[in-house]
Amino acid sequence: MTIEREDIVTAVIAAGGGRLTSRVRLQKSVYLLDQIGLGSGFDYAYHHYGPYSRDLDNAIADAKAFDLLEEGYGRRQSDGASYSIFAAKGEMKPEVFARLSPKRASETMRLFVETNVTILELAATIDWLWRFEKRKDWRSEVKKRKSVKAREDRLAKAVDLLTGLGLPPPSSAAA
Amino acid sequence: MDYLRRDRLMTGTGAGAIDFDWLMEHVRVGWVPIEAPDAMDGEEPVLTFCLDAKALPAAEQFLLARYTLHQQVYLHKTTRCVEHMIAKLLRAVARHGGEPDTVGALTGLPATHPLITFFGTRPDLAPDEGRRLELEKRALASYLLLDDMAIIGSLDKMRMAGDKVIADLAARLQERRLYKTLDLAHYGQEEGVQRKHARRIDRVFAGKIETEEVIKDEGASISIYTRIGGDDERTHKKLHIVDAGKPAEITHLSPLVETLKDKKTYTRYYFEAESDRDAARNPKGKP
Repeated sequence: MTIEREDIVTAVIAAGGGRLTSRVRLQKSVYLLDQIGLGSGFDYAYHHYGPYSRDLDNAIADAKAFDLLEEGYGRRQSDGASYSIFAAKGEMKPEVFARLSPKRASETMRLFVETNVTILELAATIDWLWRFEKRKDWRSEVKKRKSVKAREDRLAKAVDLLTGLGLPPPSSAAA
Repeated sequence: MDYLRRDRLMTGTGAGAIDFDWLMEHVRVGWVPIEAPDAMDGEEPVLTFCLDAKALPAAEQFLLARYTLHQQVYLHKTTRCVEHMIAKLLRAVARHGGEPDTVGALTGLPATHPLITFFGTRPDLAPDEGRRLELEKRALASYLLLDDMAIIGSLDKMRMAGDKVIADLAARLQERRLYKTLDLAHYGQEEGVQRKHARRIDRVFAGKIETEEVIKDEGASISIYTRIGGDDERTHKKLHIVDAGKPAEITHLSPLVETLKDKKTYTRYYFEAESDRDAARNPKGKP
């Protein structure tokens, strides 16, 4: 069976329980799943919230167009900023997780769904900085890019998350 | 805001006017959260620009102007086609950048041309940090010389390139013999229908997409207000209006912006051969 990109995004959301909030969470989740072996084939580049894939963005559009995914919106109370709420309508194709195993995909996605999105963002950014940008001083770099978001307690949680996934970052040159 | 005014003037489009003076008069500074909107453990606000409530109509007009200019200028199919042809040309030059013995003959460019010095400098291959920084500086110096005129002015030389792809693209760009475009809007606005046609074209032209004889462009998308936000340096790109003494995101206050906030994607294919474009457009030979 051919795996299309909309199958990947639908399966990822279904694996997390069928509902997922925000594009940032979805982007960072799929990026981290790729680092542990999902093999989506999506390309990533550094964007405003860290690693971002336009391929994934297009996959979301395909999944919506083919009626596999529904996108609604929620709002932050403080300033009314809106965020997406995705609901998977299509069935999960287990073939999507042939490399990762459906069980691990489901456990990992449920963890991501429950993780604070800022921690997820920091974790994906740390991984991106040392793995792809080859930043030996990833800690000072992430503080520079994320400023007040990169509190020490959050960085510690992000590193714990990465370690739990089997993706521990190397010691930062500036740590 | 400045680029909207300049581009409107230089392209001659009647769309995209903004009330610059009124907007500037109502700029304020306020605390705005920079977390993703669904963050759950508190917010970290930063001081940034926002607008007084009186400027809401002008802010809507500004977003609408930006949206229109994107539709009619930046994402116009001809603009995008030329950009993709130039990108293909530059990729072809880049492939020869690391071959000093043959780069001149294959690209038609002298070894001192900033395109060659830029693509020939590889900080990522440096043996140590000191060398990497040195190469990054060199690459940056070359990059800064690569303005529109440097590229357009080198097309004459690239027409003489030994690499046929470079020679052909340089000639086409000079003579404005652009690739032929198929916009999926040809099949109507229904996204599901457009994407089914995209799948068909992807399948039929898979080999030519691989060799870039056919270029697929699905990177052009707009919404009237993309919530950019995120990193600190981007905070100024959010648009907040002071409402009851505190900044609120414009989507929360403006029904007009809220209505147009869904992202619209333009998917196009650019064909080197007109016959391929025609075959892709009319798979059953229908006009």
